Amino acid sequence: MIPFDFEYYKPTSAQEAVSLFHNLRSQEKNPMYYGGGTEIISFSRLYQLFPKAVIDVKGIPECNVLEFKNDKLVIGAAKTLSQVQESNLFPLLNQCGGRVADHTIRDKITLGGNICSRIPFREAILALLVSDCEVIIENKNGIRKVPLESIYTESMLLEPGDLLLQFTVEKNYTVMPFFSMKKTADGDVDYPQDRIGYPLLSGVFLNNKGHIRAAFSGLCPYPFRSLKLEAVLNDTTVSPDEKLNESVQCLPAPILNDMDSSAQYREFVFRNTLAGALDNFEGVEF
Amino acid sequence: MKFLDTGTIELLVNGEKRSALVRPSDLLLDVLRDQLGLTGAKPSCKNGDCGACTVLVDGWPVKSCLMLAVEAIGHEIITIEGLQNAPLQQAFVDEFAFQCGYCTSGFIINCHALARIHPKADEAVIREWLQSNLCRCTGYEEISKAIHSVLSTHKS
Ligand SMILES: Cc1cc2nc3c(=O)[nH]c(=O)nc-3n(C[C@H](O)[C@H](O)[C@H](O)COP(=O)(O)OP(=O)(O)OC[C@H]3O[C@@H](n4cnc5c(N)ncnc54)[C@H](O)[C@@H]3O)c2cc1C
Ligand code: FES
Ligand code: FES
Repeated sequence: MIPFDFEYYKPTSAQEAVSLFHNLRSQEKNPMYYGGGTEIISFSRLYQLFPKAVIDVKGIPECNVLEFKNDKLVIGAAKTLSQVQESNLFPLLNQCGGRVADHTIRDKITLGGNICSRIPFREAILALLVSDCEVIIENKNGIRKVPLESIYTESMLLEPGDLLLQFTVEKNYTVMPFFSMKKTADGDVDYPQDRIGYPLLSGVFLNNKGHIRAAFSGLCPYPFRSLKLEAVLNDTTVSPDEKLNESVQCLPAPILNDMDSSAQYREFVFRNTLAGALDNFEGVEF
Repeated sequence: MKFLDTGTIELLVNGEKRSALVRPSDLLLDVLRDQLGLTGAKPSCKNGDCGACTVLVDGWPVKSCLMLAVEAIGHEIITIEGLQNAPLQQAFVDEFAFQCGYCTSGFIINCHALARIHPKADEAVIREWLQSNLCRCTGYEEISKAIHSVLSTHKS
């Protein structure tokens, strides 16, 4: 049970959603856009969030698109991770999003919700970070289209009222070879112990015509793509062992050290993952 | 659509239109159980972890502890009470796929959806779907046999 009341709105257009947001904000109702609602419900139940109004974005047509348009994949922010996975339009995103939580919850978690999550893993963003994704956002000044990397550092840099409508990715990124993996504290044992959980490390590597792009979640306090790290991975003058050592020096923040895993163990998993990825890309010289 | 306060909503549950008096922040699980008397979906973790509360929404399994009742308006909800003589129910009996039975309705609903959506599911898909539910009595082997027996009928 959610131990307090809130108002529920389900607008049918993006403009209506944004203007509702600002109206409700001016009434100090602390409104929140509501995608799958799994995080809003979980945190509200635990007294960690107190919206007095939620605005369900699932009735907004632009948020429900999932198709190729003019050589671009367009994914609405309200599409669930299961819908993205079942469509199989972007296999790398299927893998990142398809490892979040469990299958049934992915029928509810939306792509927009996962990426805006206050839970630090946001695994679906990894595929978008390495594929030059653009984000279409509606706010009170209208619609804007921006590169994902310009509005993401440690989290999404959204202004109050910014509504994520869509993510777009050039078709060529959806067919590039990739390697991706997720390691959890439980590891890969046997059903049901291999239940999907929060990642110790979730990593993706995209082979862009011989140039490796990489992004990680679970290693540092937030998901990241590091150009510095990619420069090391792609440096043909450096031996594989040196690459692993240098990569650890390129991380944007200290390695997490928590009850799921010590920082040393996470570093060990990170090195193994890199080694696996480097091995995986045949035809790429390191 | 908006709901500002406690009010009556209409839900389509197990093929019937049902009215319920709800707060906009009420969970579907609580409304099904407390207002509609449908106690087949079980509360357990209420955190999305265990799957005991799973129901079908438009044919897809959803954890009803992570869905608002007002969100379900206009969608078709099926609870375990709405499955009548589904092959999976018999398969659970035949394979002794329950002990205390607390997790059973969630497992059956999830497996039922799997058999409908992916009747020819391979092992990887079966495992992926089954990971959504927990059985504290650890009857996984029998549950797995039950779903396999139904899927193999489809395959043959
Ligand atoms: C049991 C469980 C297990 C989980 N396991 C994992 C895991 O393994 N890996 C992982 O990465 N995450 C995991 N998560 C976290 C989950 O992905 C996030 O909680 C995610 O936010 C849920 O998406 P949602 O659509 O339900 O979000 P909501 O609860 O609807 O919203 C979350 C946030 O996003 C904002 N938002 C939603 N849509 C929009 C939009 N269109 N525009 C602007 N803002 C928006 C909301 O205002 C809110 O701040 C798990 C969550 C649960 C409950
Ligand atoms: S009670 Fe809903 S998942 Fe456990
Ligand atoms: S039969 Fe007891 S929890 Fe599964």
